[in-house]
Amino acid sequence: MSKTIVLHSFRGGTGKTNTSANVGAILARRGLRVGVIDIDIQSPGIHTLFELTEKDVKTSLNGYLWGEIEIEEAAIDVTDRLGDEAKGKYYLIPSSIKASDIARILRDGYKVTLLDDGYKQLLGALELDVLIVDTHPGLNDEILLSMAVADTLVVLLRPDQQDYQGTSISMKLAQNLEVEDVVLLVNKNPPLFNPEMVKERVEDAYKSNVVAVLPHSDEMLSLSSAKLFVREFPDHPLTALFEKVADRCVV
Amino acid sequence: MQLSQEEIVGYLRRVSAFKKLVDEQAEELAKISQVRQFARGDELFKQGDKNGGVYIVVSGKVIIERELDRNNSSVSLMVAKPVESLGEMSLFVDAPRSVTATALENTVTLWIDNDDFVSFISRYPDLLLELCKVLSQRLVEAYDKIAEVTLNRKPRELRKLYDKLDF
Repeated sequence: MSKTIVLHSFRGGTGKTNTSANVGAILARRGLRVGVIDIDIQSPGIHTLFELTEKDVKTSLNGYLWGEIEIEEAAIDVTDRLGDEAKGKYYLIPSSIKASDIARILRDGYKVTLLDDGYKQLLGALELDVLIVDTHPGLNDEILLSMAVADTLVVLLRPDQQDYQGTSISMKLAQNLEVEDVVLLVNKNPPLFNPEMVKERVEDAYKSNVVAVLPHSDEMLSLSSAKLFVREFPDHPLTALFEKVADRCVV
Repeated sequence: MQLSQEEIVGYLRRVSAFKKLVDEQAEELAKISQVRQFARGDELFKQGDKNGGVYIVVSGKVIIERELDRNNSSVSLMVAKPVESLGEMSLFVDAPRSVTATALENTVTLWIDNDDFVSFISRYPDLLLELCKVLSQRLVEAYDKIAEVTLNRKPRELRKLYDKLDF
């Protein structure tokens, strides 16, 4: 059965995009057909992890939302970015990185409710096992719609007071929207903080499971969101934690 | 791009307003159709223009926009894709074009002059009825757009979700 997994955080900079791309990569390597869609239409970014430039992104989610193309026409096959050992398929559905397209979105808007149909269409047309939705931080129409259709919602946060407060709003929202499966993911945990204690504290605060506490990583920083971490550092402890997140996402 | 008479008939038959044309009518309509090509960014017609004619998109895409007086801005109304028609309103309204049509990519169209078209449909009332259906659908879409633009109202699906957020 296919699954829609939505990654959300109340505040920016929590690592949603890197997590989306890397968890997707792990699942595709294992043999699943995976799509990752960037619905951060006003500030897209996930394409850089797949080493794509504006020239490579010929069609995008924007075209679908404007009624110009079918959503599957925006999918780019990025399976080759996973290396030779990939057993599945990996598709990226990017938002446009053309300044003129972003300006048009800001000026004219788009029919946001098309997203819901678009997710279903992608799962069917590309025969996906998993669709991962990478979102804009905070709350807006797109997030609300995506949360409402999520089979699993992953809420990311850093061990930081601003993130803690914002996450309580996100969790309340997910509860009101009756999202069945919600997990928390703590990211960028500094070396000074004991991950077990952080996990315990967060689980206690939100009465929800923490799937993993990902450490701050200099190696991740060194990649500057220009490559997939799990491919560059397959034996790194952080890759093992991404594997754990991937396990939980497809339960 | 050159299109044979047979190919033009083929495209015309796929246009929703022309689906009920019999062979003889389709061939007659093809004879008064001209192929017109546009590069990306070219305007097929501009709001305020007085040239009358109906376009049928063969390949490419055309965006229809209503230009607004304020801030040099505009509202996108629709994107016409292959076998969709545009500009039919000029057949019935003796007024300048109410919208601007611009090619979003290199586009090939069939163009039928208003006088030729009126002369053609006046002999086939059934076709007139089909055209009315197309224009009525456009009117419904325009009402939706007006509601969206003037009320800035969330779609029903979203309103239901927002209703759940009463913390």
